[in-house]
Amino acid sequence: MMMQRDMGRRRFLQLGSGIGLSAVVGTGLVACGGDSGSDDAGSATGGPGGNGQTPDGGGRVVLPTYQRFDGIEPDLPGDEHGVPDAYFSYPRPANPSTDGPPGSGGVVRAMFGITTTVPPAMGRNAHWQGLNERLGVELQLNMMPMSDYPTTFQSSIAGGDLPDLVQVAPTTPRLPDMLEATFTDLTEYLSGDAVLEYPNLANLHPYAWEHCIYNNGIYAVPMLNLRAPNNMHVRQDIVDAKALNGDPADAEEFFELCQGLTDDRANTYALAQPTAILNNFITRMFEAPVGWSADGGAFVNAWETEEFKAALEYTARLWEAGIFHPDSFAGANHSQLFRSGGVAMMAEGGLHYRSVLADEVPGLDLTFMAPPLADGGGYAPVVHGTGVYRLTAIKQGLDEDRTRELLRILNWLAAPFGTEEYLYLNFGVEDEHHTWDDNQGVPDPTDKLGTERTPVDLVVRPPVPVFDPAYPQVAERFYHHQKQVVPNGISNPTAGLYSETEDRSGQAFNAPVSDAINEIIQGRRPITDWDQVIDTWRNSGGDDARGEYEVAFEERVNS
Amino acid sequence: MADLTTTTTPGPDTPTPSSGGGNRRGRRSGAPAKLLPGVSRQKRLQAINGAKPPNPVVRGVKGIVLFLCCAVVIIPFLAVISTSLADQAQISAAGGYVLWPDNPSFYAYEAIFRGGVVTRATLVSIGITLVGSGLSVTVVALLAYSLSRPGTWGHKPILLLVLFTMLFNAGMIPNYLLIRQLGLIDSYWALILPTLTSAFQIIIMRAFFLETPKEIVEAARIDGASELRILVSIMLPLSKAAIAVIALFNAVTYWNAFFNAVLYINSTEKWPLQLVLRTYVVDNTAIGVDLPGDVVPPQQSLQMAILVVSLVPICLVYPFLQKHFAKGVVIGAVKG
Repeated sequence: MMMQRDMGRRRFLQLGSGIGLSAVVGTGLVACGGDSGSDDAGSATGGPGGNGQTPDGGGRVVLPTYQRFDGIEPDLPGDEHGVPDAYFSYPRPANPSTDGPPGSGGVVRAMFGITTTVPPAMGRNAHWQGLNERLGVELQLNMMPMSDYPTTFQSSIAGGDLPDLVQVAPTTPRLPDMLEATFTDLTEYLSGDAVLEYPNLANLHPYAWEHCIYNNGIYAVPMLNLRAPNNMHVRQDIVDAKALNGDPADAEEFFELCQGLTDDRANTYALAQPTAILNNFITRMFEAPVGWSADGGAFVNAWETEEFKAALEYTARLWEAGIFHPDSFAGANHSQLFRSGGVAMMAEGGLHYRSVLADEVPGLDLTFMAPPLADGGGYAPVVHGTGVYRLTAIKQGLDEDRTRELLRILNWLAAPFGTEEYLYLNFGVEDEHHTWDDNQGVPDPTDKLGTERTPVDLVVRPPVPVFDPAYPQVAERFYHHQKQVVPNGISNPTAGLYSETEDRSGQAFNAPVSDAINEIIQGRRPITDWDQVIDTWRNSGGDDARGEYEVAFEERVNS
Repeated sequence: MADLTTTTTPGPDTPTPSSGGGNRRGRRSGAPAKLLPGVSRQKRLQAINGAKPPNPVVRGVKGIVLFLCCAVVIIPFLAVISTSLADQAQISAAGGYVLWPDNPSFYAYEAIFRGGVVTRATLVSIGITLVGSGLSVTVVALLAYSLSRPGTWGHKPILLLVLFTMLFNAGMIPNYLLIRQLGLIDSYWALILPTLTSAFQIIIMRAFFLETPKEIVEAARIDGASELRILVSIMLPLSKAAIAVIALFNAVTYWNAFFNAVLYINSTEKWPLQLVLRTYVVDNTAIGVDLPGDVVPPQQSLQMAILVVSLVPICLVYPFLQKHFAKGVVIGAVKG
């Protein structure tokens, strides 16, 4: 139940997109109807303040105005719910979205975790040097592998000597207090129409900005991620070879598909991640809540619902039928198995398919599957993530000019797909970091780009586009999959609400439930034990957390 | 073994003049009857070895067991090296690791050395390891020696202080604050100084010095040697094994260390190799990071190539030091 815990800890101020919630905050929605381009989440939490920059006493801070970048027409358009734009070529020549270097010649220090290999140091890195030139400042970047970044982050916060820009994980414990104590309140620079001074920041989705608001102030700039955090990847080549139906209409058909894909004598299986599949796919099919449901302010945990129990039972049936790889609970590497054909389907996040494609898997034909409703009759609503990957905050104690300079730099770095800035950030200089492919009209990266590219997209990033010139067919499928699942999604209503019990001892009292889920799936424990497990959970902290969420929820609705 | 065989095959009994030392084996099997007539081969082997040789079945089983043990050790290395040389299509088809590359190429090595990050980090690591273990041995030897001499000033309290550090660790944040107060953030010294000494090593070393007979030291003193002279000319040459152990312990520690760099180093050009390695091999999806967009993790062959690069230096040094390593640990522990 990793997923559940993560969701619980992500305190973002997410309101309107939960299905049951629109009704509750309906008044806010009406009051803010005039906000240009905001999606329902944005306007719902906008409160009665309208377009004012900061609320006059009591009201909630106003989200930055959403103004979609319209400099380039996407080949397949996305939307404000988080369906990504898709492109099959890059505009040439690409036009800049900013005028001139945003910096004024000093030094800007930034600290962030990276998920790529580390680029050469500034002195021997033409891409980095070019970036300095274009930004008009010297960037001093303190990069760390993402897995070690929390350590660096903690010690830097403790030591108190922070660089100008600091990447912050949304899962950081006691995030609101930490942000308020350590970083600059950006409300006056970004709230409402003030953000229009930084058009590329105004192009970031309102649902992402929701996660930058804590203690009624905007404390960070979001780094966008895809809205649907998890997609079912399918090896259509294997499905076709066995002449199966790759688009099951209900739970039984999905079961049949899985059975058809499993052949334990050939050591091939349908699936390998029981808990991930349960949380991201099967609970969707049975329409269990994501984490919690908050119907009318009464919180119910997903685990307490009949829907979850049915999903769990179904997963146990899949396990009994031998559909999961036998090493699933012993650390089987599902991504490698997927490549080698050992499993035919996997649940993975974001644009994980790119790394699969990059590995030149022989015979691979990749598609994506939307979860069907268990009883048939359409597709189930998927999990909506936060849409935010990381946050970037600005350290405290800077004067207004400096803060504005840093925001201009962030604005430059957040330039969307199609601009000159984006081209430079992701593809470098022509004939040095890429060559131009005239057939497709796309930049073709050279080895030098792979080595030198400076990953400042981990400081701030524009909405993620679907752009895979080498695999246009898969890109198109991915786009259509997103378009199918993203508008129809539900999110965790506790996001943005704080429960001290959950923060302090959530891991301890949730762990027995996670263990029980694993045991029930593997048939070591009967499903009839489940009610008992949940009773224990309620008494050991679940009910306390529920109470705290309900109080926090009430406060937010009334504010 | 070699001595034994030559003494049990005395010269006069083997008159064949043509046989040189080179084909002693052939001579033994060729002229057994003359050697000990009427004695079976088994008896002869027993006479040589002092024990009855096991029968072929037992020896076969032993061979298989040893072979399997070797395979368990060697196959992972082979897989790492082969995978680093294999092409991506073969790796994908094999499910992550290959045992023998079909089309071996050094592409992965070219890729990781391009841009100079790995080269530079390797040099940093080698520098840190040499300077660090050199300093470490010096400091440990000096402290251990002064604590091993009876009647030195503050002997007991200092010894207790050293022992006390074995019980407690300051923790990550206090250590960070200390290094910061010392002005060592983003300095190579931040990678060397925090692990310079350890109470465990000082105790091993001290125990070793205490073992040295008093008479030798007294003789040196009568000859007019100072304490430093005694340490350098008498004690250290007598403690080569212990020093090798300490040096190797520290070299391995410094070579494998990345955590201090995570805490104290801000500039990527000062990263040691192990931290660069982490950017290649740590699977971000495994730590709960849902990777956004454009990030494609390094291919398996690159991951294996950098593993090989980080293994080679230690593999080169280890065979020359490992006998001291095994011996020294036992000496310090048992006799202390």
